[in-house]
Amino acid sequence: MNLLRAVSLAAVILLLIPIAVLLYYGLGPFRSPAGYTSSVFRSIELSIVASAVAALVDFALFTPVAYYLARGNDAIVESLIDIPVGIPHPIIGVALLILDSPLTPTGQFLLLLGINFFNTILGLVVALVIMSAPIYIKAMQPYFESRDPSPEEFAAGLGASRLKTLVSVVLPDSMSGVVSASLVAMSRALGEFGSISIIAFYVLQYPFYGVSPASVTIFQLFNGAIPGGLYAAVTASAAMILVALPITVAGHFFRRRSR
Amino acid sequence: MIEVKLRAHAGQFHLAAEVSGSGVTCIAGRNGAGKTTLLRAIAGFLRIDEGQVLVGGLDVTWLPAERRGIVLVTPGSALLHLEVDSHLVWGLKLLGKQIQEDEVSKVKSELGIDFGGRVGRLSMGMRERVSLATALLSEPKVILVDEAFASLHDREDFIAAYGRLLARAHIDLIFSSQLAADGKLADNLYMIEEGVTTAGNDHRTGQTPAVRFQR
Repeated sequence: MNLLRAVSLAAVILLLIPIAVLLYYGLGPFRSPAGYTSSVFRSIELSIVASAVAALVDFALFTPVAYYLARGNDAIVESLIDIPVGIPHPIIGVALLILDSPLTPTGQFLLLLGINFFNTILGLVVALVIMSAPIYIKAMQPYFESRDPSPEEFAAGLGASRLKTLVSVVLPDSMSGVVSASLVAMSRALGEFGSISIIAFYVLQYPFYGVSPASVTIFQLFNGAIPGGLYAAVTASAAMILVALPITVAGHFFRRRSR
Repeated sequence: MIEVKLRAHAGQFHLAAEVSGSGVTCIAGRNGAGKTTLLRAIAGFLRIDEGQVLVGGLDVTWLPAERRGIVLVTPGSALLHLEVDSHLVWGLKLLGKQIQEDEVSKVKSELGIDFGGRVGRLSMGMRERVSLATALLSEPKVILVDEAFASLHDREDFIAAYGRLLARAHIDLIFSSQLAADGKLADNLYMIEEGVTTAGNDHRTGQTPAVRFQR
């Protein structure tokens, strides 16, 4: 068993070496003031706000889906959820662009309603929801499955509908699971790059006018947007990791508590 | 009056049950005999293969659980996040029924609910009392009790008191037990073995159940 532990630990360290090296150089030898300018922090701020909103939308829209899958047996819906996960992320960005393009009827209709995804906070959040919702569902579903169904069946016998049971019986008793799954979804959204680099390279709305999401900003720095950009990119990346880490750790903490 | 005549299966386990009666009915059998499976089939949580479930002459066989007027109470039924007092009237509120305060306090005293606080902090036996009282107060047609009398220190007195309250509210009760001797606490007794029920003697009327499988 100790050998298993040693092997596991070694594999995990292997996984984390690049991040550790990045942290070391970003905060140490390669540290560059261009990596922690106010515009970098505005980017991180935008990413956090948009990811948090996406996690809230995940909670509101996809908690019922997770519950439905946990208590039913619907292979079709279950496999539909996996579709966005299996597609290269930039394709989701392109898909959103086409969906809301003035060149397509769907886009003309959405734009008529004032719904614009391109370079807007809305578009950014929608992309992050699509990328994080499957993660949210996959975190919530086993949590619901592990619950004793007796109280839910009791509530049904008393006359509660399935949705009423979810809202009034299951959710009040599942807050640690919900918080954990939301934080996991949020950290997934924070890490998104592919789709948002297409649909919302920057946003053109108050209070984030002209601000890019953090992952996009780091990519721009890396691509040499400014002289010495590599150092700036490494430093900004380290800053980003320091911000994202507590969210991941908090998600883990709540998961442990919910068991 | 509840009349059950059904066949169902859960995995490799097959159920062929025939139970009917008014008042308090006991279904006795050893572990694995099919007591829980039968009660779940009656409550609507296990799809049946053939047969029917009649409640007061009304066919509820294909109704979803929430529209049968049948409440299944198990040791795990309690809604843990509620306070005792709001738990007791949860079913009433759900159905938009009037809450009779004196009725609630009568049930509380008869069933030994002299405690309060969050249900999740109560002992097993206390939770069972609260669940059973909640089911009673919501006035369903039938209450099914699966082992939920097990942790009560005054089990026999409790079942008697519960039966009296149910009779007053015209609610039928079916409870499962490991002991055939519990038949003396009931109006009707059925034995169950390997998924097949047989009518025990009805010690009060001497009648056998009215519904029979056509063989």
